[in-house]
Amino acid sequence: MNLKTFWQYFFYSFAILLVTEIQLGALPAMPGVLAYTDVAIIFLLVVLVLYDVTTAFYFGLMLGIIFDVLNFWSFGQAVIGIEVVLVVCYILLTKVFTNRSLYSFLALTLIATVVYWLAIRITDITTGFVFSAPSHLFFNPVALRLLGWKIGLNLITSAITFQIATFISHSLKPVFLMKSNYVNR
Amino acid sequence: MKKLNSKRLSLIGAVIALLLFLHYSRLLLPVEGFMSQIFNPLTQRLYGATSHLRFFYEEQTDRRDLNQTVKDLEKQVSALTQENAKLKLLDEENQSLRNYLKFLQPRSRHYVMANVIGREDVDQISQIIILDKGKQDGVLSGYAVVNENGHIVGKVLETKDHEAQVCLVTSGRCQLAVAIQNQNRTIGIAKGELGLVVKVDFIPQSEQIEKDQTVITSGLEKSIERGLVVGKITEVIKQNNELWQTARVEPLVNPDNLLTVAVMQP
Repeated sequence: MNLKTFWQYFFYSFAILLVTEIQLGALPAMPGVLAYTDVAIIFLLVVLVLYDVTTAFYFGLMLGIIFDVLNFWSFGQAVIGIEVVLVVCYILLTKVFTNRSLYSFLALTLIATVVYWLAIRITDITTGFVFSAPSHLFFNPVALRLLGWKIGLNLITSAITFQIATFISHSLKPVFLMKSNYVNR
Repeated sequence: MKKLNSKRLSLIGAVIALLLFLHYSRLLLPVEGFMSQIFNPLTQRLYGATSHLRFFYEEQTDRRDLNQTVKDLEKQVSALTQENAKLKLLDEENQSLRNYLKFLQPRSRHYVMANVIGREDVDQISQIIILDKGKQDGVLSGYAVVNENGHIVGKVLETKDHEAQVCLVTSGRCQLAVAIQNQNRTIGIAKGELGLVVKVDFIPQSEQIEKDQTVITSGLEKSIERGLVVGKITEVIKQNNELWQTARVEPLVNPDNLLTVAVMQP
């Protein structure tokens, strides 16, 4: 392993550790509905859109395993949910969305949030059914309100993340196309 | 965008399946324990640090709620104070009317109840009050005005259709035919002095009058019946070289407390 690869893996590990700590340590203690934000999903979307598909899937695998180990839900729920989200987003990104603008990123966030929520709910109910654990109704009002908050918060977070990413990377298009940037090229 | 290698996707799927198998067969427990040992202290610290932010937010929210509660309560107190003042006024009025009934009903007198709606105390001496009843209500000039205890308050000076001007007994404009409750039932003319007391003039020197004797209306006036209490004698002014003697009388009515009065009809 050369030095570059070492630093690359070090950076990956640090990113996973940071996202895990934000998602499991910082966010649950946040006031009000801020605790419902899915930072991990947005992080994976950024990696998927901006960086590399394979890396996003590996990151998803790592984060999913860590969440499953550290959380008290049924093992496999997080890792399966995250990988399903990544598969769906990857298909949409290659087949549906033609560019990488803010709007496509927000649409991707919306779909990812709903898919992740559905995946967690489905696995929750399935494991509840299999292990006779108490499971809730699929579409109860509380869960739907939670989904609403999640969508709103995730969209805001992803919009902010996208704006920051446009400053760092040239792979994304800014919200408003500046005429001067394109005319004289 | 790079395409996802299906082999890698299969590999990821296989890893997940293997992990599930290892977990549910309890073979993954040592690894899970190790991971918990690494992440838990960090998570715990971060949670603690972020909790301060939540506590601060909740404290601010509580404070805002408390401020709102205080504002609401202040409004409520203000409204209740206003209501209380109104009720006290009504209670006072009710008490006063009950007293009037005690005085007026047993003697089956004719009377008109009136509210005091104003004063004309320009010089603090004139001692004039305005009533909300006038000619149309049967109130005419010269009629006696009494309080709830039957003490004479004053006399109607002028009337309009629905208003009457009343001079209080302490007014210089108010003259009453009175009698002193002594042995001879001495009569005289009572007139207000400086808006403070009542002076009874033209009492013959031969009459025996003393301090604390009660002064009442004499009934010599056409519109005012006999027996309405004016006040008590506080001072007798008697000089040997004078033809008449004078008595100072302190009225038993405090004109400042008048809200409702009765106008006595003959």
